[in-house]
Amino acid sequence: METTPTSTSLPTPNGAPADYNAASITVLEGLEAVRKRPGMYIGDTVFRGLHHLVYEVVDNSVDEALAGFATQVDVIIHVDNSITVSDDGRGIPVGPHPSVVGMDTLDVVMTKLHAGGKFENSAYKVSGGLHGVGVSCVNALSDWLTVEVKRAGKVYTQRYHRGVPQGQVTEVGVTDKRGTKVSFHPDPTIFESKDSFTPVYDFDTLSARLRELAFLNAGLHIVITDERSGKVNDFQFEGGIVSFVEYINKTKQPLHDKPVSFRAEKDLVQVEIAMQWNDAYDEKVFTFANNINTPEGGTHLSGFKAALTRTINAYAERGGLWKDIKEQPTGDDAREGLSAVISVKIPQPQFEGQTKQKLGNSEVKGLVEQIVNEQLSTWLDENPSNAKKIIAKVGDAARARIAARKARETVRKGVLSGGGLPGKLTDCRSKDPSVSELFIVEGDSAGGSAKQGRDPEFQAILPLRGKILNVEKARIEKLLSSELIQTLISALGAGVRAGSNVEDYHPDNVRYHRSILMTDADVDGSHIRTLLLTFFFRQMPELIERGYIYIAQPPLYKITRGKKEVYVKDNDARDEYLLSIASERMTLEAGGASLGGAELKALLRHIIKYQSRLEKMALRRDARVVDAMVQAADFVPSTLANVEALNAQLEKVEDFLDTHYPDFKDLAAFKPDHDVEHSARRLTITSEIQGSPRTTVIDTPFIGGSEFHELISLREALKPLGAAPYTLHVGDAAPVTVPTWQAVLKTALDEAQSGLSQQRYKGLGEMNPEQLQETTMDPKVRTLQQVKVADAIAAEGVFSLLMGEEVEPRRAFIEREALNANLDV
Amino acid sequence: MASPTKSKCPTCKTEVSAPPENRFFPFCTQRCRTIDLGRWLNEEYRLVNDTAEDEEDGSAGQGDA
Repeated sequence: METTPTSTSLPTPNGAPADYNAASITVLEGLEAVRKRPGMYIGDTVFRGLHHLVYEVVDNSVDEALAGFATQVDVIIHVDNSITVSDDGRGIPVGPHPSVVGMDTLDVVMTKLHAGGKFENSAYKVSGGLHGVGVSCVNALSDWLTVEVKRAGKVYTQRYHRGVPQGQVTEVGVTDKRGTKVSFHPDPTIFESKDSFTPVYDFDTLSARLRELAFLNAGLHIVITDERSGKVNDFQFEGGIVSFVEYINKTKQPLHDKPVSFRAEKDLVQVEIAMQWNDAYDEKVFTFANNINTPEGGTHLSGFKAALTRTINAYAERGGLWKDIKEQPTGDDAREGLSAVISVKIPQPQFEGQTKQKLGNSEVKGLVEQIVNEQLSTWLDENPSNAKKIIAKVGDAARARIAARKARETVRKGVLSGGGLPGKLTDCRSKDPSVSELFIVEGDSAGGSAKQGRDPEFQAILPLRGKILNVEKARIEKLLSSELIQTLISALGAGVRAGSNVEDYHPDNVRYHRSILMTDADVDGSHIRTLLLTFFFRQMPELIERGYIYIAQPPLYKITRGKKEVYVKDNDARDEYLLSIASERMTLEAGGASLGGAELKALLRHIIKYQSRLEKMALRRDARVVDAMVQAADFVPSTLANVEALNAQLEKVEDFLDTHYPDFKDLAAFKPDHDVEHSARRLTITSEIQGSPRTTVIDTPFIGGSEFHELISLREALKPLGAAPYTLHVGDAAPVTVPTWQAVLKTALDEAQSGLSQQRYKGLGEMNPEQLQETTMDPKVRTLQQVKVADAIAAEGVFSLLMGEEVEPRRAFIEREALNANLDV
Repeated sequence: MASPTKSKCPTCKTEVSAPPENRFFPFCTQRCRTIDLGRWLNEEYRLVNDTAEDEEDGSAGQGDA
């Protein structure tokens, strides 16, 4: 400020606004410089500068509102691209200027740069228009401008051409209203059409800034009218910046229902903050100082950021909510999905930076920090359910950031480590993915065999080991090591999608169109397979969709019969093989006829099926009782309704149990009780299985149910066997008579197994390279199971189950799995 | 097998739609996918076998079921 105000207009420091009169105006310099270098004053002479003219005028009106003298601002875009801004404030002072001799105060305001009440805090405690250079600048850059002031019952007007008054301030009439109206037309010699720019006002751009002003000044009414199109926007927000935050979040899903808002004032600095997290990931924090957007932030923003991060972290730590996160969440994590508005109003704002878009007042930082520290902690404490959601969100952001970094590092490392192929990989010679195969082999020894047994032209080998952790006694955890996953990603060559960088992942670049999982036929092997399939399904689903993932089918048994060796892949295949041999060698005598060959084989298969159904029941019932009910008796639902019929059947059951299961021990006599719901009897049998009691309930639902029905169907299918006992002829030996189906099967299997030897492969490592090659790897003889999306989804389900916190379903699953695996062994 | 039932994002458990509308399937967003990748790389995915004693005893002792 170059001139000292006269004593009569001395501002009361930090006090209430003094009179706004001619003496408040300080004159600084002329407008010539503005026209010479407009960019220095309004940024540029294209789009931004053009619109800036309007903001400059509007800011004056908003200042009147801030000072409490105006309630409404109207902006009109006229058809000729001129603008009118009017308010209902006090009106710019009119009358001889106290220090600029011979000039009217209005004239001074409109024509002298840096003239205005804002340079003294007395007229306006706070003021925004300072970032530009006042309305005089607009005047200088307009080919015409008229100002109309309604003040003290009179109407005054003056007209200018490129900042030069076209006559004196003139009193034109009387009024009972007050306010200032400025109309101007941007000078086309300054705002020239060039390239793609035409100097035309954009309704939406102006609307956006005016909306912002309406948000920042709760209650202020701003109306913008576009006379070219008839469009009108009417802004008034009683909620102020809370409404602003809701507006920013209007297309998002907020995390908590109302924005958090604080407000405080200290040493004439007012701070207002509103904030709300949403479920998106971008940060939208807008800062303002005296209504001016400060896109480069400054002290208010840095105070906010510091306090936010500290408060959130402290709250989470107190609650022990982030124990699993290895490093402290950062400020970026805390602001992920945050929409916030920070508005400070301050008597003497200092704007820094080239474009004056950064707040420099150092006292603001501490104040903002203090407010956020105190009030946000309180809010979190008082809103625990919302706090929990926010903390969870910030925690996820940290996890995602750490994960993305880890993933990026992994990918980068993979690329950098010489050629990118991991040392563990034994690659094939072919570079044509469509013929290349990658065997992912469990275990180093099996990997070694696979290496020797492969066709090096198109078969690559990657040995892998699942990592096993003994966490507690009887609790073993199996996982894929980080190194293994990195090796796998590098070997496949398709990269992985780490973070937002989609370019890191190219399923088209995968180096093998067949990735074949080769794991042992035990629980370990199945867990590793489940882990791998889940990994592929989640991180490289395209490979599964395209049918690039396979499961090898190594044999479970080698059966040697004389000089002949046969490999069979599972128990079913082994049984099938044994049944073929048995039915070649033996016949069964039934009803005078003699059964053999395919007919006998089919019957034996039914017995196997019957046996396996019984086993499945064994977890909930004593299978021996059920076996007796099917083989020896004839239960139908009505049997239970009739005590005599029931007793007759029970006698048969007891006989069968006595004869064929001599170790069967009933702990209580078979005593039917009443089942009123089904108007029948119900039988509860308590027996002993491996030293512990087992209860078997025989009631109407069981007899009529599908489980029992299936057994009865199998009994029908076994009708050709005739009634027990069964007579078998094996070769030329004397016939054998056996009493039960199980005994028929056992005789058959015993016969088939005589003279042959079976080797069960517990692991792939037990096979030598040739065996592995000729059973599992050679495309001419092997079978591969192609993994379908549905298989992967199923693997995912198993994965979740085995990962799960719930112990019971997991234990049940593993028991079921173990039972299936042990069947027929 | 491929039932059209809604599946849940493995990371955040919100319901997700199937591809091709959802290019992040089986996740809801890239972010949830990245979190999952990070968990793999941090060795957080561990399959638990709490009936582990079967491993040692099972093969030898499991008799004639």
